[in-house]
This record gives sequence, structure tokens and C-alpha cells, in this order.
Amino acid sequence: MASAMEQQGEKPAAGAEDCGEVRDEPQAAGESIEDRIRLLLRLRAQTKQQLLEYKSMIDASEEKTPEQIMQEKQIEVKIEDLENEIEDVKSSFEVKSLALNRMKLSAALTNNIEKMGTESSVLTDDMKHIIKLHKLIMKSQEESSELEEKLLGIRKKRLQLKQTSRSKLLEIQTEKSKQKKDLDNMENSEVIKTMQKKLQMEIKITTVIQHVFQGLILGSKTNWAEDSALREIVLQLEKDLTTI
Amino acid sequence: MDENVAEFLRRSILKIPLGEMKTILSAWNFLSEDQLQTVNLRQRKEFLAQEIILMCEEKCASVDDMALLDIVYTQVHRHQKLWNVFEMSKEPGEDVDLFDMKQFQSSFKKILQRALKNVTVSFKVDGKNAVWIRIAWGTQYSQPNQYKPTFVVYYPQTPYAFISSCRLKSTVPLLHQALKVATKHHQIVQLDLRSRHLDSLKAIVFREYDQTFENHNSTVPLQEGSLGLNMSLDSNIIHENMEEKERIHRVTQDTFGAYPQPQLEFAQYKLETKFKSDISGGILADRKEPLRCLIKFSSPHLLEALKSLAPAGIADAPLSPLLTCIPKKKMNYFKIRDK
Amino acid sequence: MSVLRPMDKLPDLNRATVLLVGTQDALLQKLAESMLQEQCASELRVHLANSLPLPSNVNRPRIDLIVFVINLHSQYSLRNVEECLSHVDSSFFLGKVCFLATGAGRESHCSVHQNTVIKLAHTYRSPLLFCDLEVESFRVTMAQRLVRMLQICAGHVPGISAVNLLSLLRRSDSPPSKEL
Repeated sequence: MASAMEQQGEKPAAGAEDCGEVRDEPQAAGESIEDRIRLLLRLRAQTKQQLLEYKSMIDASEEKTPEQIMQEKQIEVKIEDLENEIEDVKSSFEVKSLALNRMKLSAALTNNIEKMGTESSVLTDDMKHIIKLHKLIMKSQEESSELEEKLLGIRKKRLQLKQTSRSKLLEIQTEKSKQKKDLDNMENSEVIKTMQKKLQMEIKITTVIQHVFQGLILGSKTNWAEDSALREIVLQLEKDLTTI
Repeated sequence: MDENVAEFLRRSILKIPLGEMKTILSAWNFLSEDQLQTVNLRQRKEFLAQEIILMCEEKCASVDDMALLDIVYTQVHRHQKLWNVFEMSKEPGEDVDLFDMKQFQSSFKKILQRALKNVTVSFKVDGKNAVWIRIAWGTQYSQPNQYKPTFVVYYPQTPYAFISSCRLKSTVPLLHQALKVATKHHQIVQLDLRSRHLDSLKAIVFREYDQTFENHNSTVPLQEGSLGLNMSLDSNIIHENMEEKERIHRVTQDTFGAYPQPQLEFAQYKLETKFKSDISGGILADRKEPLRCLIKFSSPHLLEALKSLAPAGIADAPLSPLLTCIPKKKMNYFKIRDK
Repeated sequence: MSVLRPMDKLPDLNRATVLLVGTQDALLQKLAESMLQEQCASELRVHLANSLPLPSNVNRPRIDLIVFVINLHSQYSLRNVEECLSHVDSSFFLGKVCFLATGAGRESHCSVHQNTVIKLAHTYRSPLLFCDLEVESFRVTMAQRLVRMLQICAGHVPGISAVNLLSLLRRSDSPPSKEL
């Protein structure tokens, strides 16, 4: 690996030599020198990256791979775990670099302010503006939470009212249904039925007796129309008892 | 002139595209040169047809002349019909007779007319050892139907005849009988070869395809170096498998040859074999009856397409012999059975 | 040397090499030309192969990216790619292998189901790209993507490595488990 790195070190050096030859023509040379420098910088970055990759491959190959033969499902699970590990490492790296950046920024800010003192500068103006806005935000947040609480109380009351009205209506409904049930019961009670039956029976018996008396009187061939008492009796016997 | 003849002539002329009108009419050789000159090709076809029919009436065109026009038209438009190939054979030990065109024609006509009273038979001899025969079929009681004729192209020095597909199946045995007797052969057998391109059939049957032959419909010319694909203009593109490509090219050349292939439209394979499967217990395994399956390949130019399969990387080279044997075996309908 | 290994040679300065593997030369050629037409700061080399293993007598540079081209219209190309995969070292699959499926636009001509290819790419943990290589505009876009991937895999982009790119391209949904 070392010899290869030397070889690669020579190539950029050769590039620098070519650079030297071109210096004779200043105008076009000016631009091509910049191009050359750009190329060299790019090559440097490339070589660094490639070196990093080779190093990581070497480190990886030093790790022992497990010797046992695992089933395919297990391998898949292991691969998933390793991929998740990579993701975790990447995200923690990102978070850490973010934190570092923030720290760097705040350090730079404090340095700057220390240097400049408390005279007005763009930074201090911005910071004061930020603080004002923060205060505003906090106040409006408090107000909004109060309003929310009030709203919540009103909603609770409304809910309560709804519930009580509902229970009242339910009571009315149950009362009504009870009354109706009692009425039905009464109509359907057994006592009334037996009484009705007895009544019918009596009416029938009486009707029969009426007919018998009628028959007696008519059969006796007396002129009942002349005697007022007999007439009354016959007329009474004509009455239909079911209509009473 | 008969009404039917006039009507048929009118329809035939309307069928002919204007570009070919002059050539077909002069090949017909019925109207004189001067008359042909006077025909105005720039008018509408109906008027043109009327003009020509008037001229034909003056010359009293007959059924035979009209049949000849039909033959000329079909010769130019031979791809409109589907041609079947028939091979005749003599009994072993028979002498090869000298072929007499006149005798053949009269014998053929007599046989057909003896069997069916109403047939129209017309002959046209092509300079290239071929005779074109047109037969319009009728029955005992009806006139021949001029609109559904059968065409036969017979090559006298060979035992081959090409017959166009005919819908009237009852006439087929009679036609075969007439051909057999008129040409003094004993047997006629239909080959499993069918195509619209008569010249390709001829090339396959007479094994002329390894010389470049003329094709009415010229297809894409063969690129001698199909390796032209590999001549990349960019030196940054490097082909790794040059050896493999060369091998494929060589194998393709060996199987198909470097000449243009005859033009066929389809190849049909009828399978009646038992199903062989590695997976035992499948749905089709262990069946005693053979599996019936029909595979049809169709293409405007089937053999060129097959030739280009391996170089295009769609199939392995060499291709299956079932596909490559089509011109050699003179078949494009195959029945595959278990041996 | 029948197996391709990613790091067995030293890289050439400023040069990136991609190997396109597929059965249909016409498609590979077109893709190669589109890739070479892209503006790129590094020098590009494209190697076309029909199958692996590559002939060993040729002196070729280190291969940075392998693209397996599968034509969904032909089972033959899928089988070919599956056979080639056994000739590639496993360390290649850490981001230096990519699958490209073409022909998905014409559904009626597809004889290989998309799920087959998706499963294949998932098994090998490599990204799968769909592109109709016959259409000019899609091909140009795909060539741009491939050139960018190639630069990263060759180490020409500081800060990103092939493995990093691989985890970025990882699909969040796993392929359907039903076999089709």
C-alpha cells in the first residue's frame, strides 16, 4: 500500500511540473494554472476518500466473521440489525455534529460580543429582537392557554346541562309508559272478563224467562191488550235486554 | 361480349392499382400497343375501366381472355394467395417421359371437363419453366364461379406443384387426380409447407436459397458485419465478450448461412407428447394421455427474425434444431410425437 | 480469476469504470453512449459484458460499479443475470452493485414479473432502478443517476462512500412476501 501511495504522490508532482511548463504564456496560462490547481485539489480529495475506503476495508476484514452456518432467516435478521446499526450510527453522528455546530456557533457569538462590547451591532440588535419575540411568544402562549381553559369550562357546563335534560326526558318517558301499561292491565284483567261472562249468562237466562212468560200469556189466549197490568207486562217483556 | 365477362373484367381492372395498370395490360397482350397508348391513366378508375371494356368489346373478349388477365394479375400479386406445396412421385422403375406442354394442357383440360361439365381452365406459360393454370369451378348445373378460382403453378421438369388455397374442398381430389394423370405421376403428396411468398417456397423446395434470389418484397438487406454494432465510435466503451460474440456470429452463419433467408410468415408446432416434469406430483405429471399443445411463431419475415435472435441476445446460440431445420426439411408445420 | 473483487486493484487517478452486464447489446450500447455524454469531472470508462466471468487475459482497470441490466420482456436475461451473480465477490454488494430493470412500460410484453426482480434486489441488498432504456429521455435521466452513483462508488465525491449511499437508497418497505 505504501509504494502505491508514493506512486500516487508522484503523479500530482508530475502535474505540478506540467504546470511549470505552461507558465510561459501568461494569459492562457493564468487560467490553466487555476484549472491545474483545481484538478490537483480534486485529486487530493479523491485520493483521501479512496484511502479512507481502503482503510475501512482493511479494518472490516480484520473483524472475524462468524464461522457457523446460519439459516437464511437468521442471516436476514442479522443483516437487518446491522443495517439498523448503520442507520443509528449515522443519525447519532448527525446529531452530534449538529450539537457541535451549535456549540461552535454560540462560542463564536460570545466571542464576537465580548470583542465588540455592548455597543449596538447587527448581532446585538438581532439578539434583542429575538428576545423580544420570545417574550411575545410566551405571553401569547399564556393567553391562549387561559382562553383554552375557559373554553373547556364552558364546554363542560354544556355537557352537564345536556346530561341533566336527557335524564329528565328519560324520567318523563318512563312515567308515561308506566301509565299506559297500567291502563292496559286494567282492561285485560281477568276479573273484568269473568264479570262480563256472568253478565252475558244472566242476560241470556232473563231473555229465556221473558220468552217463557210471553209464551204463557199468549198461549192462554187471553186478551192482554184490554187489561192494563197485562199489557204493561207484555210490553216490558218485549224489551231487548242486550240493549240495556 | 358476355355480361359476366364484362363484369369480371370491370372488377379485375378496378382491382389493379393505377401504377401497375400499364404493365399488367401489356403483359396481358390482348389489347394492341396503340390502344394501350390511348388509354388515359389520369382519369378516375371507373371511367378508365369503362374505356378499357369498350375496347375489349370491340375485340370480342372471351372467357379465356378474361381468365388470362386474372392469371397476369395473380402473377403480379402472388402474395395475396396462400400457396401449398405438393410433391408428385412416380412408381419406381418408370421411365422419365419427355414433357410435352401441349399434351399436358389438353390432357389436364380433358380430365377436368369430363368430370365436371362446367369448368374454365386457362394456361399461361412463364418463360422460366413454369406453367400457371387457372381453374374456375362450377357444378353439373351451375356456371363456373369466376370469382373463386384455384391457381396452380407447375414446374414441368420437377415433381413440384404449388396450389393456392381454395375454399371449395370438394374440388381438391379432382384437381389432384387431374394433375397426376396429366403429368404421368402416380402419387401426389402435400408437404407441410405453406406461405404467401411463392418465390420463397420455390427457393426452399428447389434449394436455391443459397444464391441471392430476387424477392418481390425486398426485405432488410443482411448486414455482412452484424458486428457493426460493436464498432463503437467511443474508445471509452469496451466490449468484454468479443470472443463470445464472434462465436455466436459464427454459429449463426453456420446454421443460417450468409445469404438472405426465404420469406415465410409462420411456423407451427403441434405437440402430442407426454408431459415430462421434474416436479413429481404436479398437476400435469403422471398423465397417460399426451399433452396437446399448439405453438405458432408468426412474423413478416420469420427466418430472418430467427437468425437475429442470438446476435440480439434474446436466445442462446445455437438455436433449437426444430427452428433451424425449416428450410432444410421443407416444412413449416411440425407434428412432434414421442418416439 | 473468476470472481470480481472490488478492491483488488489500485484506482487510476481521476478515472471511474463501470461494468454494464446484460444480454442485449443494443440497449447496453445506448446506455453507455448516454452515460459518456454526461458532463463529468472524472474520466469515465464503460465496459460492456454479456455474462460473467470476464475473460481473464485482458488488463482492465478496477471496476467501481456493476450495473446488471434485466429486460422484463425476456426470461433469458433474468436467468443470465442470476447466473452472473455468483461470479461477483460479496464485498461488491456493499453499494457497488445496482440492478436496472427495463421494459416495465409495456406491461403486455413483460414475461418477468416486477416482484421477481424486486425480490432479487432485496436478497442482494442492492438498489433496483426501473427505466425504459428504449426511450431517449428516460435513458438520459438514468445515465445521469448512474454517473453520479459511479462517482460516489469510485471515491471521487469526498464525504460520501458507497456504503453510505447504499443506506440512503435503502427501501423502507420490504418486498411482498407472497411468491408469484
